[in-house]
Amino acid sequence: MAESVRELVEYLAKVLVDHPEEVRVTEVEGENTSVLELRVAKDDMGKIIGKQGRTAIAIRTILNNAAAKVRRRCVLEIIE
Amino acid sequence: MRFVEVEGKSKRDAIEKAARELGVPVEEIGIEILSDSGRGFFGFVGGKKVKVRAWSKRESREKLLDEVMETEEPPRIEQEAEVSPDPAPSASAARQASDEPGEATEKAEQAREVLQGLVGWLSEQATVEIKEETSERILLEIHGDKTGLLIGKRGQTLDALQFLANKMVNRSRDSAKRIEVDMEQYRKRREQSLRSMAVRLGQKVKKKRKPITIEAMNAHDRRIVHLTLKNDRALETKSVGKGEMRKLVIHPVGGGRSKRHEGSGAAT
Repeated sequence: MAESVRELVEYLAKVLVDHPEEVRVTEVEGENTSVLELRVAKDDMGKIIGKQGRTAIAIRTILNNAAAKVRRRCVLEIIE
Repeated sequence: MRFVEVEGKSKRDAIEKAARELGVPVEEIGIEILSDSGRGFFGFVGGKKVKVRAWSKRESREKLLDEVMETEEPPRIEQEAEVSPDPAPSASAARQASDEPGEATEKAEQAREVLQGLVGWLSEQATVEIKEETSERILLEIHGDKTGLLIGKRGQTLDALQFLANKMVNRSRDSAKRIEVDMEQYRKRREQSLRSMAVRLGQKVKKKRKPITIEAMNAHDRRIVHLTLKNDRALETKSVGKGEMRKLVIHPVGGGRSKRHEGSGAAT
C-alpha cells in the first residue's frame, strides 16, 4: 500500500467538507494502533459526522479495512 | 480444508464466532449444524445453544460464481450460513446485465473515479465499471480480488463505499443522482436471502400466531422484508424504534383461528 491511512482520511475529509483548506489530520502511532486525529472547520463538523453519525461510521469502516491491510488498527477521532 | 467447531448462543452467534476463528468474513463460510435446540430461527430470534462446524468457502464460492455466470443455472448449496447469499441470479438480473451500457455521462464518470479512488485504498487490483445509468441512478460495479473484504460483513463495506460515494459526488442537490455500488451481484443475492428469510419467518408467525421481531437490519434490508410480506393478508409488518435500534416486527393478522394460511401467500 503506497498511501498511508492518514492520507485516506485526509482525502475523504477534503472531498466531504466545504473548507478543505482547514482539514488537518495527525497520526499518533502506537505499537499496533494508530490514532488519527481529524480536525475540520467548525461548520464542517456536521458534514464529517453526518446524520446519526452515518458519515463518520462509513469513514471508520473504510479506514478499518484499509488499516487491516497493513495489519494495524486505527481509531479515528474527530476534533473540532 | 480447515474446519472449526464452535458453540454459540444462537446460530448467528456461532457463525460469527466461527468466522472470527477462521479469519474470514461471515459471508465466506460454510456451516453445518451439529446440534441445535430447534427453537432458534436464524439467530435473529432467540434460541438456545447451537453447535456448528464451519469452513471457509472463499475459493469454492468464487468458482461457483463463475459457473453461475457462464451457465446461468442456479446451483444449490447444501448448507449456507444465514447471511450468505444465494448465488442464483434471477432472470431479471441476467437481463439487466445484458442491457446496453448506454452513454456514460460526466456525472457517472465522476462517480466511477471517486469510487475507484476509494477502492484503491483497499485493493490494488480492483477496478470500477459503470454498469448502468438511468435518469435517477448510476450503478457501479467493482471487479477484482478481495471480494470478501470489499463487501464486508453483511455488506457493511459495500454500503460504506456506496454511502461515501453518494456524499462525495452528490454535493449539490439539483444534479443529484443515486449511486449504487455492487460487487459480484451481492445486492441481488442478499435480497434473495432476505426474501426467503422473510417468507420463512412469516410462515412461522402464522403457525405460532405470535409476532416475531427481527433486529440488526438497515433501512434497505427492512424495506425488502416489508415488500416481501406486503401481499400476505395474514401478516402485518411494522418497524419500531429509532435509529440504530429500529427493528422490524412481523405480526399475525386476524383472530380467526380456523383461518390459518400456512405456507400460502407471501409474495415471492
